[in-house]
Amino acid sequence: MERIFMRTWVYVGHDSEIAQPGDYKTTSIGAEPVILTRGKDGTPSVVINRCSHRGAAVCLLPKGNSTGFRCQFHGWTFGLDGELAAIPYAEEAVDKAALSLTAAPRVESYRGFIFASFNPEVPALTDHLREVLPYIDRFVEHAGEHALRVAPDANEVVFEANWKMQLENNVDGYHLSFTHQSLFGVLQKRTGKQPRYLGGSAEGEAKVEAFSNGHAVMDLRSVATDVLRERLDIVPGAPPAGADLDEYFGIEGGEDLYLKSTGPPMNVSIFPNLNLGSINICEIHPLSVNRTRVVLRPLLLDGVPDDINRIRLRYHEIGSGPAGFVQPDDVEMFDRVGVGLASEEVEWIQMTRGLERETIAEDGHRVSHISDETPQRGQYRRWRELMGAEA
Amino acid sequence: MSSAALVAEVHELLSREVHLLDDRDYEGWLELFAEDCLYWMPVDPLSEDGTLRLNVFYDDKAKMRDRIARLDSGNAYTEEPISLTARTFAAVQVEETDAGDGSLTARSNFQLVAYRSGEQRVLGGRYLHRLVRADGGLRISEKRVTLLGSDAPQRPMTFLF
Repeated sequence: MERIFMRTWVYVGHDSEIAQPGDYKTTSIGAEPVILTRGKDGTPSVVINRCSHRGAAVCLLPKGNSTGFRCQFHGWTFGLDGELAAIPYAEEAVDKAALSLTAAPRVESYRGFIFASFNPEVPALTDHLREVLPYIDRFVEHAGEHALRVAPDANEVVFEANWKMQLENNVDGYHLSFTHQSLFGVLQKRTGKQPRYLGGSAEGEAKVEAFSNGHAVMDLRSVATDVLRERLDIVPGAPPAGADLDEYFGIEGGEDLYLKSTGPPMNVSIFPNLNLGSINICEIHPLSVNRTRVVLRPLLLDGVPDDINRIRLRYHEIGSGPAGFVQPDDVEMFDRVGVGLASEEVEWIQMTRGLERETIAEDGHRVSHISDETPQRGQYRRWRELMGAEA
Repeated sequence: MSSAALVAEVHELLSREVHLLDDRDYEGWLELFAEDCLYWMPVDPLSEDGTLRLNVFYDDKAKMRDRIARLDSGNAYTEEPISLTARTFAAVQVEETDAGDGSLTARSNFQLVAYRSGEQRVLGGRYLHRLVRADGGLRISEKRVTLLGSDAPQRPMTFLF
């Protein structure tokens, strides 16, 4: 956790989670409990949630709005940027600056996604993300001019395996038809069609890509649009079949917005802890080497009728969360990998699919078939780089 | 109907539901519900209207059937092997609604013990059942499951509540 999470940029939150000055969110950077705050001047800060006096957490709530944080143990108070404001009954002059909450030296954001780093030497965020910036743009722009904001609630699950399982999984096209067979069974039963990602005529256009710094993309546009459209049909409270959707939603372009509820059929994994896919932001929190917390936040749209956001929530609920039709089956496979990897006799796993057919572009990024393990190899190249680097 | 008879009737219905669920008689369980019904668990335990909120599940009857079809498919891997469950409920309070059509609300507390793969979990919370009169009996028009910790990280919870 130290070599990975304390050395690179780590995703900490979306602008809409701390929209107003004084808004805060508690989260983590590797093993560090942190608070992401929005200062009075609008600047985001990330501080370690640990009183500089005796170490008590100064903030217990997942989110809120405050003028600062007061440790309830001995009453020390801190500003939103962690600066020490007051020590009760101070007996002698103290160096207040030295007793601030420890702040991440770097906090930067790109199109609403806020990242922080405890490594002051990291390159600019946009440089770190440079090759995936167009994919983040596409994700952010999937509903045209309507800004994305996170829903007020999130689905959270915990699994008994390494955090990298979740990162790998988001760009793993190979597992879809197997791990999620029961979802496809439900869809087939409801729609009478056989939904499939692989083996279809457009399969060749779908691809996975591995970029520098461990980032990766699975681009499903050519194969997923119809499959995902069918998922909309089984949403509770879906518009009646054959309805004029502009009329149903009461706005021009209602049909288009409705179809956008499945998101851009594309998954982006930002090493080490952010997955974008469907219409959600997925935060990955390592708790230990074999225990991981995952937070899924569905994205709603600004400036649309409530019914559009209602459909987005119902769509998200089909698959996500501990009782969803998709995520639990992934978690089950992670757990099974956790069990299998406890073997000490067998050391290696296979992650070689597509080694022969992947192509290396001029800029060094790799492209391959949707079912290939190209993205995962890219993630592990970055992992090895960070683990091997001098402290 | 006297209030004691009403409470007894509701208690009997809730008992039947508990045993149908623990016996995994899914079809029998579905029959307890009205056609136009809602079975849901909010993420926020204080949420009373899940329409524009995120929920752990928010099922109409068609999606309840999907949920059951998935459990029966053999490919819902969190339930392979299947979770065994035993649940209890208590502190049932029945109230007639203002609608004047015999519809009722029943509040109760529950404990659900689930066992799978060497792990026994205890999940607790509160049920709210809205009941309507139909076909000479009571049918569930809404079942809200308020789970303690529904907004905290959970292991998969793919059995029925």
